[in-house]
Amino acid sequence: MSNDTAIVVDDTESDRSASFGRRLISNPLGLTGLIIVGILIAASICSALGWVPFDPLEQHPADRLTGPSKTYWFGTDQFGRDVFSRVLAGLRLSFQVAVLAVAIAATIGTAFGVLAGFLGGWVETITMRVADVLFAFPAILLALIIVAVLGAGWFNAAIAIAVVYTPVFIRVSRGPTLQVKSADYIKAGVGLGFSTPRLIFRHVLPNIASVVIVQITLSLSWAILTESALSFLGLGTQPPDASLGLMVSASRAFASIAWWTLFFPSLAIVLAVLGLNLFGDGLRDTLDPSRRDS
Amino acid sequence: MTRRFFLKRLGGALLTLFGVAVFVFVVLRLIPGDEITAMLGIESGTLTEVQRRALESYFGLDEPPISQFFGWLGNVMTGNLGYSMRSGVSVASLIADALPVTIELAVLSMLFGIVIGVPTGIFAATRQGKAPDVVAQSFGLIGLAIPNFVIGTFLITITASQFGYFPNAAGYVPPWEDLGLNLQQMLFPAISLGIVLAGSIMRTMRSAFLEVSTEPFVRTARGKGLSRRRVKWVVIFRNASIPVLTITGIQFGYLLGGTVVIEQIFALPGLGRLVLTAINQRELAVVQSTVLVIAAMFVIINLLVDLLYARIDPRIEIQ
Repeated sequence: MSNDTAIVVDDTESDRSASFGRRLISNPLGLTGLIIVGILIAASICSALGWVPFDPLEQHPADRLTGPSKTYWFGTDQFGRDVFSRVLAGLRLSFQVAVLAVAIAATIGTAFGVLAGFLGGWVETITMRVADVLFAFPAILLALIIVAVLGAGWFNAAIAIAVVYTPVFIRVSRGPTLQVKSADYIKAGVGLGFSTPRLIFRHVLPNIASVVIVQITLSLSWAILTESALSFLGLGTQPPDASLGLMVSASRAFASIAWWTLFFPSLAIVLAVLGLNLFGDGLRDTLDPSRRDS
Repeated sequence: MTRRFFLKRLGGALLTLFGVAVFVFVVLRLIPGDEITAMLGIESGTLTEVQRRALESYFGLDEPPISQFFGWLGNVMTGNLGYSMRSGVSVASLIADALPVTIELAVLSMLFGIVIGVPTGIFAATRQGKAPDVVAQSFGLIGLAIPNFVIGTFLITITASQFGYFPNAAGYVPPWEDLGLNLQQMLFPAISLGIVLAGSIMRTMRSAFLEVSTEPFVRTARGKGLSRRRVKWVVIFRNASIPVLTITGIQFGYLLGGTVVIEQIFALPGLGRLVLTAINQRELAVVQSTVLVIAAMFVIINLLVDLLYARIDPRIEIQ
């Protein structure tokens, strides 16, 4: 930390957002990520609206394990279910779990992180101790234990992932809060007799928002990875529902004669994670040029 | 390294471990089922009141939770990690069997990550913006996005079905029995876990190398006439390896977690598989102690990285 002053931008709101958009678009990797994520989200919305060739659960016993064709774009699985429709349904579920998990983690984590940084004292000590304890578990293992307590299923997987990523948001939001707290405008606010909630909501939160937003994007990609791993182990989404991890797991028995059952769900996971990572990196470069990689 | 810094970090680590023990104990009490159902399964429903109470007192379940906790912790301190109801074997010996498998896997994965990640990171940095840099960076990004179980599944499918090669089918062989076969069994799991590591090590190495290259002391080193090679390997590399060391340490947690999935795919009898099987069979004692051991390993590694870090870069202690 060579420079402890918070980033204060004094141009007007509209100027800032306009140049933000331009900078994001001029970042080719970030833009690529945004496009990939956009397409995948559009695809999962199509799935939610039922705009897919087949019902993802509908079985066609006569067409088991057939390769990609005009009827079945990504082929069919061992029950003759359409892999394309199932991949879209799996994507939708992955996004659903990831968004739910990260929303919970970001809300609770940021709340505690900001309170810890702003109030200090015993609030900070206890919060950071709890975060340390949760950090002492490898992510998948912690999620695994929590799912074991709650029971398998996509909703419980989301809760488990939320618990895993809450301490990440606590740490990420506490640091900048400490910086902002020592800035002159907060001292001025204290001098003017502003209440603590007003200081936190009007002055601290807007100034740490960029860090939290970047973390949200990157956490979404980890959440998708974790959800697919839990489903792969049989502890996330339960059959017959379509989940990308579950599809990869089920494909193991057939992949040698039906590569499409393994390839397409894997591709969907990789694209989703890659897109979110690229977008998150681009967002970080755009919002905070001082942390740019090169 | 000052004594105060060392003691502070050590105290923090011990406090965290105590918190971990409390967390594991409390969370596992919430899992439906206890030692009695783990031992007897559905038949535990047919127990009479007297039998049930006798078993509860045998397992210590009739004691208040606080004394159960300290009883367990006291046992753990003295090396008694409890017993597995199914196999009748002590958890300590289950862990002793599984630990070397996981450590070997983690070390090999890490080696793979370093051997691939460090040279490609430096290579990319020295050709910044040119084709090799772009290629290396793209591979790094894709490597970070592929889940380890997908890599594992692909490796098995391709080699086992197309080439009929699947060394893990014969059952795990420890290195002291047949080193050649053991390494063949470990190769694919280590690659599956190591690719993500290679990606993140490559990216960190590259950006650290570029960042250090612009430091004034590098210019000074060049100015005083050190050879190109000396500047690159001694001045820049040494300084740039600090963040790489940190990321490698942080990734160790990922490795310990990743082994749960990878050991399952490749049927390796390591700690991850032990935990997963125990969770599925509701073997509380096994889950509780194994998770504690894994978390303890993680905390100790982090402590070591912290201390090593302070040794390489004395400025850390002041912060």
